[in-house]
Amino acid sequence: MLRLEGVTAGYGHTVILEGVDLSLPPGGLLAVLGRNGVGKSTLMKTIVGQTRLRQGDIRFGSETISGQPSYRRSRMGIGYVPQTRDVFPSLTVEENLRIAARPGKWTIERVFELFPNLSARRGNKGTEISGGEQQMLSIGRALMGNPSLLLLDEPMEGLAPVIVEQLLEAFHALRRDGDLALILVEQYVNLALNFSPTTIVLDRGRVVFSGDSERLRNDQVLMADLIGAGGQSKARH
Amino acid sequence: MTDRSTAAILLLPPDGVSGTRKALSMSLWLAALAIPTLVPGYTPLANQMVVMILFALSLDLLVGFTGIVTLGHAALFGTGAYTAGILALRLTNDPLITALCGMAAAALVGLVTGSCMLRTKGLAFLVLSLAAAFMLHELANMASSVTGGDDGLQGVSFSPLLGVFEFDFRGHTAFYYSLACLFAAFLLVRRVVNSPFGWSLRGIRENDGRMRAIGCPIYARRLAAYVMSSALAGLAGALQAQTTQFVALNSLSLELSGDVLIMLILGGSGRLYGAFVGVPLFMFAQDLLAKEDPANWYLGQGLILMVMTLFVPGGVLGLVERLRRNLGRGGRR
Repeated sequence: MLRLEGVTAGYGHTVILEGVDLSLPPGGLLAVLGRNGVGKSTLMKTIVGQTRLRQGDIRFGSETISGQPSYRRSRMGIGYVPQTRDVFPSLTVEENLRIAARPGKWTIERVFELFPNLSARRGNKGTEISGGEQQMLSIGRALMGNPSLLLLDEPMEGLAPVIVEQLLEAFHALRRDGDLALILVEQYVNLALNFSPTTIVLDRGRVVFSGDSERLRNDQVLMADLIGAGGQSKARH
Repeated sequence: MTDRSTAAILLLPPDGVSGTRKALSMSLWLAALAIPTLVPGYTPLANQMVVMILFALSLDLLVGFTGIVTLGHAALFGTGAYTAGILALRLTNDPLITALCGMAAAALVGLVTGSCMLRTKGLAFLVLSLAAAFMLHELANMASSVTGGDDGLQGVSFSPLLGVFEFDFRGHTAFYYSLACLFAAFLLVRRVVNSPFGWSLRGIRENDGRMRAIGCPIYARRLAAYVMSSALAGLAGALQAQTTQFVALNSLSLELSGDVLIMLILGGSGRLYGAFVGVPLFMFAQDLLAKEDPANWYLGQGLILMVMTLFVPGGVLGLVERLRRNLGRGGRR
């Protein structure tokens, strides 16, 4: 479904990712781990077309999307939930969702089913809801585009444990659905390793580990070496 | 829905808008209808205001809802005015046909200039909008055999509206005609800004990168909004030509572009009714200041604008909203 081959990308003259390879089958799950500032978010932005691709190729389905603008990639089926959430403040919750609607099985009713909190707040403006609800809204908005691949960039960042539980439940529901591929960038290492059977670890813009999550989880020395104490301290679930 | 008359449905704001706002909205339109009866001497001035409100409303679609700030909007107003005027002199003087042609011509100019200018944004767009307006102004000046040049387009007259209503000297036909056009334009703009297309325009204004990431073709949407706004500005220009029976070179000027932007800012952009508040406020203030000090009235106007920009950044409607919110908070405490 998604294949990156030798991707080197960054912003302007600055190179952040160097020679990144990864592949994800339809309906597959992938966790992306690494210390702060190693290029995890840049990897997500590169897949959706928000960085400057210097070398390499990105294929989605049977097509190369390297030269495609961001909005076309979204229309081809790549949904993206950014770290910053980017809820539109002047629109209501319902408008924020409907603005992204494309035909498919994800309808507003289904999003409200997944996130009942949003249904109760459907008339509130984007700024008149809590941080957790904004995160749900950002995920719901990405789902309204009926993607076949969903990129989640640190969705648990700064959220209360009870909200993290709700989001995790929603991610498991998405996973059970089976036909949506997910890439999860996460600082909470154990949470990510438990969620996804495969993991890549980035360090200074390069993939330094790619393989089974279980292998990484069972090798504390390797994990400490790749992710460091910071990763361990954020271990959760 | 069945218990509401068609007129009420048209007049009322969309669902979700408070009862007070609905009542205010309806009374505003009903009060406007009564102007020629209540203050007949002010009907021509009221007509001028209605035309300018339509012009400011067209700008609101760009500035307030899409986040496109332009200093060349008069180019589109002037295009509509000259198209209606030239057609009336040379081909047909039917008000509706010339108004439609004025709209179409302005939309075409908007499409051509917008296609180039909207590839940029911010300061670059502002400069390009100025350049396009200067070029059109100069073209109209150069083509004096068609446009009348600096003397303006004189001797323009229009046939009775719908073959029945003469444009009388009291200005009643002109006023009701302009008001009907404004009402239709208002309904259209309200419908647009409350549709998924309108939400996407607001999304573009707030975060165009995010809109791209959810699959929105930014350039196409901005261009569509620009062409729609151009057509409405063209309609305002055509109405100006029809109701004053004259087209001045000033209708393409930077001064007019600046004035309409100030009117919108005074009233509050991005609120639909901002134009309805800002235009009368600006025109009354201008009238009063000019009476007080005919030589230096721009000084007073500048001062008012500075105070408004520094202390009331959301315009009059923004201030009202803030006060209402504060009162609501106070009441809850």
